[in-house]
Amino acid sequence: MDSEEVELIERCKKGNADAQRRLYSRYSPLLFAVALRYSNTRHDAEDIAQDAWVKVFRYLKSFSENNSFEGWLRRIVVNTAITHYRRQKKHTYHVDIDEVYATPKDLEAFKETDYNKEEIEKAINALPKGYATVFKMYVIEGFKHKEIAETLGIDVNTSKSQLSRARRALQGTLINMARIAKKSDGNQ
Amino acid sequence: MGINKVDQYVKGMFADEAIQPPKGAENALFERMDKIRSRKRQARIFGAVALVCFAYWGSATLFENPEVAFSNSEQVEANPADLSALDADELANEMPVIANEEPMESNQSEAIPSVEVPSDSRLAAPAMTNAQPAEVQQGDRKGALEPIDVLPASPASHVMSDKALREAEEERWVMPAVVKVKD
Repeated sequence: MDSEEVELIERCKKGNADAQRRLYSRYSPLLFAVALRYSNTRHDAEDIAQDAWVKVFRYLKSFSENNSFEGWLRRIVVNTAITHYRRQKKHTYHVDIDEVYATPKDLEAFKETDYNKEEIEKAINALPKGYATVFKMYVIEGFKHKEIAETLGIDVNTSKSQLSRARRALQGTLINMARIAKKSDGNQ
Repeated sequence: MGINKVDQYVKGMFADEAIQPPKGAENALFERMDKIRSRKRQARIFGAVALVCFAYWGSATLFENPEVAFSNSEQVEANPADLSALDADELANEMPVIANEEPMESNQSEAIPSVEVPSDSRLAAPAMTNAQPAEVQQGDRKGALEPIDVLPASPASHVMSDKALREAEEERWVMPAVVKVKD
């Protein structure tokens, strides 16, 4: 964290309204992107982002400058999103059917250059909710399995197994998507 | 492509992801925060007012009606029935201490408390204040306590020390035991 950011956070801690607005304009795009990643609709993402910002300003006094502010923000948004959906009982962590797992042969053929961001995002969102959440928390947000387990209220081993299944399912989905795309190209 | 590579590839795609929130979101957030702040302020003011009212009510009750305020204390009120049971000997034993205090109060200023307070708690009963006899006089047993004020203090009572008083008390405790042995 640079000194300017530390100073801004310190002013926010003292309840300075201008500093709070500056902090908001600086981090709101990141926070909203995370909220959108964990929500079903854009409207839900707006609610989650607002709730998360209220929590940020309420608990900012407990934030230590030695830690990453961005990481702290991410955790708050993810926790808020999970609480939001848990309250609405939309999230289920059971294993859905119609999962397509990648075979070792598929994995060999998997090349990063084959897929762009939209395709990967689409593939992640196609995963069962529980898998997708664990995958996003671990791979994108950088949570540890222990943190994931505590946040989702599951066992650490469950978190690990869900991540493993999520990876295979994601690769399978991506390969399927590539096959479908090839076929459509061939037909044309 | 290994697992770690896939993870890094995906992470790299989303690492710097930033999406601008809708325009009204900022104002909505800060309006909400203002509401929360004003609600907190109102709660604090209400709490302070409630505390002041409670304190005022408490102090008013204490000063206007002291017997209600002390009703739950360990103060033992004089029961007229018990007072009637006091015989003349007991009154005579209690008398001297009261007689000791009265001249001191008349000689010394009101601010100076009585010096001759017995250390033994059992002897605390005779150290009655002027208010206690006055209360009892309002009851049915006016006549029973009137002699306390009227009776003159015996000269021997001035000489009676704490030790003598304690011995007198001890005699009373021993008496029933002696009677039992005789039976």
